[in-house]
Amino acid sequence: MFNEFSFQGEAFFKIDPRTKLLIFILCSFDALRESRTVYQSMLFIVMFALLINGRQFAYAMKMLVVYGVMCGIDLLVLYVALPEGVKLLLVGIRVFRMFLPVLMAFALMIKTTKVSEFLAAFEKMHFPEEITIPFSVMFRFFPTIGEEWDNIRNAMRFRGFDWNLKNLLTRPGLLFECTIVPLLSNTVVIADELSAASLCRGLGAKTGRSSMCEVRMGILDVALIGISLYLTIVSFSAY
Amino acid sequence: MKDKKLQTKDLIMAGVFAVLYVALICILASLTGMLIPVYLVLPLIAGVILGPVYTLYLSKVPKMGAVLILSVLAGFVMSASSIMVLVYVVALGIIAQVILSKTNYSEQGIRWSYIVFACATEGPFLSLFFAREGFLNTCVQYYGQEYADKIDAATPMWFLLVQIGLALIGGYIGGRIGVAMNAKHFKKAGIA
Repeated sequence: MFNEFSFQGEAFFKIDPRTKLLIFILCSFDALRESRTVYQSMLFIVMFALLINGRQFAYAMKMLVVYGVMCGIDLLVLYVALPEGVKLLLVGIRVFRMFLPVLMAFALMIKTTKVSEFLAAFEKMHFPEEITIPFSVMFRFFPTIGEEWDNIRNAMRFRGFDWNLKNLLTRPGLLFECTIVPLLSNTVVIADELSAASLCRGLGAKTGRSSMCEVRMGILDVALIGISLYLTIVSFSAY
Repeated sequence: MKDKKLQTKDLIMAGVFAVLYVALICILASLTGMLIPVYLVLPLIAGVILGPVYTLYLSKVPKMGAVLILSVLAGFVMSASSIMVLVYVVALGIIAQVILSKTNYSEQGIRWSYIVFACATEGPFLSLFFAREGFLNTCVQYYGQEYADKIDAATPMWFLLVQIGLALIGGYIGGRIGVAMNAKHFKKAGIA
């Protein structure tokens, strides 16, 4: 589950992290303002193309299937006579369909950007250290927490006290304490070690840092910004 | 001598605790996701469970801006459904920071500020509310005013208030548990 929050593959055509951020922000405004099927499909197609560009084939296909099913349900509501209550329930699915493009924009930002690219872009935008350091630590740390979580559950299983329904219902307090206390204390210890290691590597030094990766706006970025601005203007002129 | 400014060490601690915060929310959401009634009281459960994380973080890093960093990072991940969630969570972070500064990071102050900050788990639900506006507008075009009114009535607004109320209660309980846990475990182990 925690692999979702990490870089997964190089894109065919590189897109600047700043462009991706802008696309996400604009998309989240557009998609929630405007729920007409034509417009939503336009957003969906743009995001789908960008995900394919980022080599997220499996994820993009999954989203395509989900979107297809949701559109099918939509047609069902429009053209087939159903009881009123069922109809009301099914129309609710449209609300969830509105979130799909936004979710895809977020996945695009997380899955196709390396943390060091993110940091280089942040530094170019003159973000303070107070944001960039915790941000990079956060992305490095998701898998570690997953490991710790598995180890703690193993240790609990050894002692015959597992996360199952019976324990959850009869002794929720104890279950909670036995999980969260080791989780928190391990986290603190790991954080201390990590900060010692990164201080050795010169993080937090007063001088500026250099970066191996280049972030640069290209023609593709300009085109994408143009498209997303156009879509935003359309969504504002809808009413 | 106590250093008031955030050091690199504190920033790393902030990143690590933000991961813990977000990961616990993800685990909870996926555990309770199958049961809709439980999912709807998620703010209460999350408030209780995240209490110890928040209190330990603030007793480790009792400095200006610590809560703000947590709110920016957690808000960023929770904003997967809408960027407005980030704005909402950061606003809560600012209020919590004000309370903490006024109370000088006492145990009482941490507990009070957590009651405010616990509302952050309400964020993902809030985006449903933003989507609702746009959805109702297009409903009028598609199915007519009458139908839109029907949907409006079926998804009552007051439920959002109930959830925020639940989050506040969760924050109160979670803060109490967090402070108690600090005294029982972490101070003894020398890590609080």
